[in-house]
Amino acid sequence: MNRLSLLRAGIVLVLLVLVWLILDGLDSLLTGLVAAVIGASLFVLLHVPRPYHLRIWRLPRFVLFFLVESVRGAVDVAWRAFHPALPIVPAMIDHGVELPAGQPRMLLVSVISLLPGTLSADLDSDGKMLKVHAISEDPDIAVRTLQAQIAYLYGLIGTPRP
Amino acid sequence: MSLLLDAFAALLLLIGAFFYLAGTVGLIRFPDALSRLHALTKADNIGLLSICAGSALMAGELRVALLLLLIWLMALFAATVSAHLIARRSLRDAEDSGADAGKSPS
Repeated sequence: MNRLSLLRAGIVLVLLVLVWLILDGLDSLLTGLVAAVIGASLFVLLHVPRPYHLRIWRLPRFVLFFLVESVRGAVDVAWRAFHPALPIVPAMIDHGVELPAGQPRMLLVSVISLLPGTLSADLDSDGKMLKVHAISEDPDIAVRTLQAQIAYLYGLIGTPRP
Repeated sequence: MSLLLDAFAALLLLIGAFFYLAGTVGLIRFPDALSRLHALTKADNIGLLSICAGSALMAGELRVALLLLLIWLMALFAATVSAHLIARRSLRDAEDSGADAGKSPS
């Protein structure tokens, strides 16, 4: 076990203890510690090495992007829902996926649904083409922006812009 | 100060309720399954965030705030995954029956 995976196990341990503290407070901390150690050990045993790791210092930027876009998405869909004329233009678009398989692609499929106007519908079997359901104009731009943000988060490109 | 905080918390709760209402109105008014999912995922996610933030302010306790954050994150995770799965299922059903899922009203 190298130093990096030891560090990751440490992070998992700290996170698990934190979750325990949040859920249960200080009353039965000992039980929590034992459970957290078991959890972190299982992580070490079952962990499958992944080729892509997110750059933790780039996370705040992604979280901010995500929050701003989520709010825009919610306001957009609320506006469409309340508008008397129901201004939605449902369409299916196929969008090329440039992100590699694994975490980056999974994040793309999950987060698309929360961006304004787009909903991830289906990924084809080799994962190169994503069917996106759109209810607004310009869904391509939204998907491309998100792909660039994720690629930047995982250190695949040097700038978060497409 | 405390009054101001309470007012702000109440405002957040109201905003949350508004987005939940919007999500439900969308669920009823939108023409097909996939469009309805748009309303549910996006509006409810921000609705829950708002309500969690408002409740955290009212509780005024770090542990409760973190607990609410944890709740939001888990609900977010569940919502995106289930939205994707429902979308995929309804798309494949539509393909099987030869209809165009994106356009046909259900």
